[in-house]
Amino acid sequence: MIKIEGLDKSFGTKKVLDGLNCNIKTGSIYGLIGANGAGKSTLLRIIMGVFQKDAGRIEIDGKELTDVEELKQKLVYVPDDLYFFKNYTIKDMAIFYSKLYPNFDMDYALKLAEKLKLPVKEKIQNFSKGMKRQVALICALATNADYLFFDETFDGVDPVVRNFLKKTIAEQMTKKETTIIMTSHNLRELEDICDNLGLLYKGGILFESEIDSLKTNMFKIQISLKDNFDEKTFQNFNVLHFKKVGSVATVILKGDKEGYEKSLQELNPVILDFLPLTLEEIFIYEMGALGYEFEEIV
Amino acid sequence: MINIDYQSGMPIYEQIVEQIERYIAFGVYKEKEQLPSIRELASSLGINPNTVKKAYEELEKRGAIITISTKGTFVTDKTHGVVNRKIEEKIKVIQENIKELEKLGLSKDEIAKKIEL
Repeated sequence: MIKIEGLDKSFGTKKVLDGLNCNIKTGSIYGLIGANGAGKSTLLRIIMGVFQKDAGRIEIDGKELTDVEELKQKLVYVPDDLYFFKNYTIKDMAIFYSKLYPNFDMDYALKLAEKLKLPVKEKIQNFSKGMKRQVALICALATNADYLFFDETFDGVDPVVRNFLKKTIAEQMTKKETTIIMTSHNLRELEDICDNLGLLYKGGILFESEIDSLKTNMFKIQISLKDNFDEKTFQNFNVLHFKKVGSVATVILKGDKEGYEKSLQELNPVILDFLPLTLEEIFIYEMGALGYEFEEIV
Repeated sequence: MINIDYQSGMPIYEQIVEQIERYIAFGVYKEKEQLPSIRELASSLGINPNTVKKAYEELEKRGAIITISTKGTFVTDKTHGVVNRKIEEKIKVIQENIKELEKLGLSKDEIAKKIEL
């Protein structure tokens, strides 16, 4: 469990993190989304100890995160700007990691490299950008750390590799209790692998939720009634959005679907269709309900 | 065996529940048959194990499967509940379609004749 309370961080006069609070459950994959400059990388770098925080508290497994080496061996971070030592091969890099992480699994690292068809004996500096990402991911996964932090790691790997990595992560999570934070500015990158999502906006978590409950709590209907009707017809429902074109209205409702379905049938609709919402749409309406416009956030 | 449609608005765990129930109802998964473990299913589909766990919990709540802690997950020995639920689901779809056909001006008799019941 990662518990963050009142985290502040400024660079010069710019406040990047402003009283950030966040709870990340053990064994979950937490997706952190936010626009460029929202503070995603800064948050991860503070957790990793790359940056000092200005104020606030970070607890991991109930212990305050300080420079304790023991605790750091439980954390591994794949930054978005990767760095490899000059002339290092995958093998060299793996050896380097194994010195920092006592549980590093060398066989596993080399096995993954082989599966991804990465040349183990060639210099990493000659690899493509996507291949470098794969190397960093392999090394991170082989550390057997309890907490893995991926900073925009999946943005920019091809679909085949992405799929392979997703499977590898799923496997890792079933082998031992692993907690993952992934960041992206792209909701679609996160939605099929994360179970929790947090939206970072102006240095704080504006909104966080389980993905499944997001998807089951809100739905879109298309409805037409015999008689004339308007938004007031739905005053007993929790309406997030109402738009009527001609005699057909599109309504976004929040709440229990089955209960609503019954009450909607009682209106005797000529047309009543339930339409699926994408996660993106759900975010837009959730934000709208909080008084924000989605476009200015993501 | 199980296919996840990432484009569909349906949560992944619901897709798993839906598909496994369907297999059980149609007897593809037989009574007492062992199901893949959470771990196997998660890594073969490349999805979050928590999602599979949630699906299995839901299936267990509905009485479709049972988990025996050391042995694994199995289809229950009484699957008629699952079958009945599937029947109800299908009937509901038919009823909704009948309602729409009536709105289009057909009587119940005419509908019955047309679909050769």
